[in-house]
Amino acid sequence: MRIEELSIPESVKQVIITSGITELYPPQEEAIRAGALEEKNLVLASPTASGKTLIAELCALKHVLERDGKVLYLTPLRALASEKYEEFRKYTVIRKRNRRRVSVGISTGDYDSSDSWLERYDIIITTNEKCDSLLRHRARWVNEISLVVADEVHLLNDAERGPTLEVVLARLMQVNPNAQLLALSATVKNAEEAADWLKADYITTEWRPVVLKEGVLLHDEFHFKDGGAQKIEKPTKNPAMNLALHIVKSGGQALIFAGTRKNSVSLAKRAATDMRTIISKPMKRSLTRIAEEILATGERTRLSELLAELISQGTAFHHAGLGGGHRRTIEDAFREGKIKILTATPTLAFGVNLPARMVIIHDYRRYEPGYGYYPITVLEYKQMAGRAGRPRYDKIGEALLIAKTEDERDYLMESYVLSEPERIWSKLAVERILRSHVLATIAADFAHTEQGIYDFFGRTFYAYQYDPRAMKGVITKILKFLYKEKMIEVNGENVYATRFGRRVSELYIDPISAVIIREALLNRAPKLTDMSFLHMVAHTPDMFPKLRPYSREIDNLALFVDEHREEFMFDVPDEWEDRIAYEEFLGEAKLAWVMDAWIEETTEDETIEKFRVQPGDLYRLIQTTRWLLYSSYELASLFGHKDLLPHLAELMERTENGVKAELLPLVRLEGIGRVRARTLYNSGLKTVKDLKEAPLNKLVSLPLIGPKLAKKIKEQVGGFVKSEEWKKLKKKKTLEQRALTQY
Amino acid sequence: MFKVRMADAKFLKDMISAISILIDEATFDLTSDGIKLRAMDPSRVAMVDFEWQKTVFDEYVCGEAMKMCVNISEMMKLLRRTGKDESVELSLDEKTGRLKIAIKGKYTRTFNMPTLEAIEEEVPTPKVTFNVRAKTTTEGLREAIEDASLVSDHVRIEADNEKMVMQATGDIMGATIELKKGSDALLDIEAKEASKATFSLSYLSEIVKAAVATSDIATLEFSTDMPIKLDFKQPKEGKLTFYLAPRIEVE
Repeated sequence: MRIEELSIPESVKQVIITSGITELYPPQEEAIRAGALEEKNLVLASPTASGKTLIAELCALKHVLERDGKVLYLTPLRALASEKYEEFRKYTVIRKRNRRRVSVGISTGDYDSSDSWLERYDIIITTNEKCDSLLRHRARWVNEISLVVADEVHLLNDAERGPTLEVVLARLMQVNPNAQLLALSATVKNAEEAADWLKADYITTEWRPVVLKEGVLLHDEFHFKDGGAQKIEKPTKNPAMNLALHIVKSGGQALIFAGTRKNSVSLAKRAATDMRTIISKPMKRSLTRIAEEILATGERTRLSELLAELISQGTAFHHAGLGGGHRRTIEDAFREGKIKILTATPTLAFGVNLPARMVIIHDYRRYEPGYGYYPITVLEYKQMAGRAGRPRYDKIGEALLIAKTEDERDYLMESYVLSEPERIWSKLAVERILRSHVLATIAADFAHTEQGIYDFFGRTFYAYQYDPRAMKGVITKILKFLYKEKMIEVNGENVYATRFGRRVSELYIDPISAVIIREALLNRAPKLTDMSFLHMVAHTPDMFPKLRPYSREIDNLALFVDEHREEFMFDVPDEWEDRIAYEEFLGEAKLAWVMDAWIEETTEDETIEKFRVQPGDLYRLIQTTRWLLYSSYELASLFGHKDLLPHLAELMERTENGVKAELLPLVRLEGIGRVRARTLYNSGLKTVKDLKEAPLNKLVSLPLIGPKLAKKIKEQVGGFVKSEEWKKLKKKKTLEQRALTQY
Repeated sequence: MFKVRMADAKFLKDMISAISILIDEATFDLTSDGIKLRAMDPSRVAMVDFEWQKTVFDEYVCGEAMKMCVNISEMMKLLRRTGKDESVELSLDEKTGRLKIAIKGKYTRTFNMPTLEAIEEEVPTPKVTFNVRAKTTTEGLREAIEDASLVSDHVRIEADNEKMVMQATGDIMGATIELKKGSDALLDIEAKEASKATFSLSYLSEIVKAAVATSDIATLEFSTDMPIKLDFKQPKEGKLTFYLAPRIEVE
């Protein structure tokens, strides 16, 4: 089926054809035939890169242009939301019937807002969590939605993320029963169940734009599913590395999935040694520029230096310990074919689209502390293997597991290569997870009777798969808890949220966290310090995942806890009576310590050295801490603890910026982060007034402050810049290399 | 089928060497008329436009038009083995996708290497109106650029109807190289308007150093803050042209 033949507006066809697509892939064709463009609910289960997004785009534009509709696009990750946002932006050249252009909006942050500004957009992209929070705030525009696209719905199976997605979909079906629903999924065994639950038809295919050959490597020989086998050279002792080098030498790229961050780094280091002789001079020149870009992004740490060094050899590692900026640079360089061997932790397989000619699954076992090693699921394996083969570049993609013995090879062939992905199962009925959703159901007016609540949860995927009555016991228990903690009140048959309950629901925190914070604010530590509050939020279940103390840190942490005993809002568990609780407490103390070090201006590099906390983890801790401090502030003001508000507000701002209180006036200026603020302060420019009076060349003489930034500072503080002074400075120009493609 | 022979292997070696300065994987267009290559370097700062008519070869057979992609530095490794008065033969085995390189002279050796999946990418010529056109000896140009490379990593080239001046400013040292019209180095110059632009010396010097082996006369065309075009006149029917993007002053 050709794009030309579709019943969509000409303007949309134009945009798609310009982007290089003229013909639909078979699964896309099936989706059209199944009525995707006629407002039919559909579940589309097919492999990565089989073009599910295009169907979503066609449907979305059909709704916006022909039905004056509004589209909500749900993704599980922020990075994916940005990716989709970029893809939809190409349609903003099109004009709607009212002559306005098609508009696309994205919202992924701040859970305590109804984001009424989103109303202006035709296509709204959010994460599942953000959508959940918007529903709790009862954003008005949700009622106007005519199409809901849910991406990666196989995540219903995920214990952490699945329940939110499930509740969001159930709520959207309740608020907006007439909206069309398009659910996109990886291939799973029970797509028909998900479809039946969503009152949708389903299409499930194995079709891929690039042929995928799956197999297992044993020593120097790999065997494919279809019986084929091939031998490779053995330049090194590591079979996975030989495989990667083999593919690089034949002009391809390899993506190696390692089980842990540590493994991904050591594999990348090994690859770099072997790549040294393979990388050509022109490529090296280009890689050097990317390495420089890495060093210029964010604070310089041993991690970023190692990464830059590896990139200049044409290899890199990609894991959640890296900051977002670094990850994006690596992803772009890999897509452009410059990084030849990329090692990654499995998170990459569930995130952005980053295909490679060859995918090597180095570890098929995962380690979980306290649980030991366990093999990954077939679904997980398929997600990783599915990254093999770049559409439009590669004729085939190859995905290989690594075996050490013949037995293991047979096992891997049997359990992964020849296996079908598992069924997906709802993970909703866990008290910890349901608690917040039960409260939200009441607080956001989705139900006001006990029966209404059961009815709502009776419409979830869990209820569909199991017996709805299986959840009833947990829900009853939660209702009792919420009542006891005064988050809900009962009036005859009816259940209402109290002001406390409503606020907790809107703040998007676990009711248990709210109780912990409420009690802490009331009872308070004997000595209230930054540590008191930082530990308080670290103690809540919303601080997740928690940091685990390494065994060699324990003595040191025990000492730290002892020293700060007076500052904690909670009793320290007895070291000998309850060892598990004690170590958990040490972990929370460590987390609070890391945050305290951050706001005392410890550098990112010192944080890695002292706590073994990498930048990516640090940013996540900062985000969560800030959000929980904000929630604490809101609860403190609800419960009338006026005396605590200034301290909490200051702490929140310091956490956001990573500075001591004295730098706050400086970091409020645009373009001034913690490092530059410290530079200014130490040179005697401590206040806005100082900056206003300082001559321009004094600013420019400081490290990290160029003429452009100096001018920007002056503009913000209302200082006066003499034109000749400015002209003189402007002479100091730097040269920037242009690309030929700009001409 | 594709099969060509060149009596002087050095000729091929020098050309592949010039291309390998910029290109990592090269996709050649092979037709019954000759071979062509247009490609950008991985940084997209420079491009090469190369063409050899079939007459350049002593024997040239190409049936159907096709694309052939090779790793150019790997190919260079093999061609480096050619010596004086040796001939070279290239032939493509379409079934196995391997390129055979036979070097004959003192003794005969035949190498074979894989070809890669060709990348279908249109490389457009930069759209630039050139205001200056300077004809130099390639050797003179090479000398001037080498002078500038001593003090800096970039050079500003300025020209009017009389002369071309290269200005290099480093952190510690500086250099001014003046080429007058009609001198041994600058054979001719025409400027519609005086122009100046700055370029990376690492690119310029590598390009010119590699091209000097293939050509005696170079033609430079540029305009203020625009890409430069360097055309190296070929002794036989063919062309070797490079484009290089400028460095631009930013605040």
